[in-house]
Amino acid sequence: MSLLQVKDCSKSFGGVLANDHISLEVPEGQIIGLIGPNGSGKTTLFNSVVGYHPVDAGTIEFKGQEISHLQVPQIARLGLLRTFQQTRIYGKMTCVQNMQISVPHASERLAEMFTSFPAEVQEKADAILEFVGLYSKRRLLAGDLSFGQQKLLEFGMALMNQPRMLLLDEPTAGINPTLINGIIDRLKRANAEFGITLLVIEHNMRVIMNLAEHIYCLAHGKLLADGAPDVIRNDQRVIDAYLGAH
Amino acid sequence: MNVILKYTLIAIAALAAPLLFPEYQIQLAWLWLMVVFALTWDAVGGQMGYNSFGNVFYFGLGMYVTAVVQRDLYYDFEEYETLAGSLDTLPPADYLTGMSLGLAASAVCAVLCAIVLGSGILRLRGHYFAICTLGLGIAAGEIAAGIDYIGAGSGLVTPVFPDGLGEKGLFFCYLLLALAAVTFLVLRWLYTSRFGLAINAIRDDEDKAEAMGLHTTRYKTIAWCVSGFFLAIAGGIMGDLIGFIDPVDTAFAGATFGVWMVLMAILGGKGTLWGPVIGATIFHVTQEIFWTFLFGWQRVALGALIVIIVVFFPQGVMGFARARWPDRFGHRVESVADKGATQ
Repeated sequence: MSLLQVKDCSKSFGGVLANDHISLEVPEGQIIGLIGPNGSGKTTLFNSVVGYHPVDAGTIEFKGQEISHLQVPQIARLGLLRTFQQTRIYGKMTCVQNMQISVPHASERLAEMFTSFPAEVQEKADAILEFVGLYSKRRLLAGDLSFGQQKLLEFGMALMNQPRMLLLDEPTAGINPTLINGIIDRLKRANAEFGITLLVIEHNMRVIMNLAEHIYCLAHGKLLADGAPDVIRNDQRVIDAYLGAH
Repeated sequence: MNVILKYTLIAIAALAAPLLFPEYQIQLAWLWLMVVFALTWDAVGGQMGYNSFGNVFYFGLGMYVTAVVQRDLYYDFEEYETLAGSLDTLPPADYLTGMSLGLAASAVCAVLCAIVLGSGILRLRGHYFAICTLGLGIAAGEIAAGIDYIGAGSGLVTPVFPDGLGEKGLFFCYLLLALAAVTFLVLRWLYTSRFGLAINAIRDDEDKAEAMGLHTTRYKTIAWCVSGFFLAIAGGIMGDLIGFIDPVDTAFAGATFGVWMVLMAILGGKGTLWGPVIGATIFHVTQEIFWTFLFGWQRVALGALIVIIVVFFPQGVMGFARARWPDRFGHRVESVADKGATQ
């Protein structure tokens, strides 16, 4: 039984068919890659999964539950979280506050909304900030961090939320090569140590080939190929549509 | 200790002021009202980033509800309608009972309205929310001017302040001071809780907050309820202080109170705890100076002040201070070696 199962999912915007009968599976505990040229429908698929817009056809199941009709916050509270291609953090709040407010909200009762965060939350926030390497900046406003640091903070916030599964939209875009290695390492550790299943959109082939156990490739809204990194790398259709000849 | 000392000094000064300067009692009462205006606006507009021009709706609602409860408890409707101010004043005990019940009723009404209206209006964002709330205030004034039960366009007289309760100015000055103090302390507590961080998160990026699973609608509605709750009580008190309710000029006065709320919060610093208090004080004092020394030009001077505020102090006093001295607000880099010491 897969953790996330997308079956025959279609989505069009006016005359543009952004997703055309896409099916994919993400088994629990794995790291799955999603690649394809710009405009091939990767982010649209992400948006459909997390509930930004309804799908035209098909089903999306998470933990065996149909989620295609649910709203964004409801899906997030089930433990299916996404990060954004354009990094999104709470800019006028400190890093610690960004972390604190990212605690899981699934079981939040009304009275709890008016209480302060318990000490465990503070400790956990500090531990994760240390994990992503932002501990010394924890009292700075998140908006004052560099772009790369904001990406790390966003990743930390996602971890704070204790999701079952994380959808990452280009986690290494716009990051310098040294920091990229750090990000790959942290993603792998999040998967291994925290047991978070990952579905990653990525254009950096070195990153995705290194990270993912199984890769899906989209082109023009259709699923072009899927398989292990080596299979994808040598698939003639993927080379023609996306990778190009080396 | 430092904080307690600071608050004690402010409390002593605020309590002593109307006794030391009795001629300024009504002015001080208005000052505390302005503080409540700025604080309640800032909860929604500053801390949550929902720029509302319709908060004056709750103020007017409270004013009418309190007045109607007071009237219907002790007077005959017909008689009150025709004789209004010339009727016997109520015994102090009845006056206080009527006022308390009226204020309680207006607070409840405001919260109910905030829940109902909020469920629709709070789905709008940015400019659309601002425009919609602007309409809310205007519509409320027009509707109130058409209802005979509350005096329609010719307004509603509130019960006369009875002898035996001391000086009217002092009574209302302390009442509004108490309201401002409670509002401040409640908001101070809320801002340090989960609620405070949640509405800040909504301000900074609501899409992100939703994607992280926050109960955004619930938080937004609560913020508007808190704002409406205190504004309605302020309205009820002001109705009795002013003595007469005009639907457009006193109750749903969007062009004056409705705009001032926003200005005072911006002047002091949106989204800060003390900003609205500072802004309200500066605004009220300057406004009174204009009225006294620039009479005839007071509106022009006020207009010029508004332009200056928006152009030169978009961050407000506290916002400016925070950008200038981030260290004092705790925004500084900590070395990893500090870790043990700071925890």
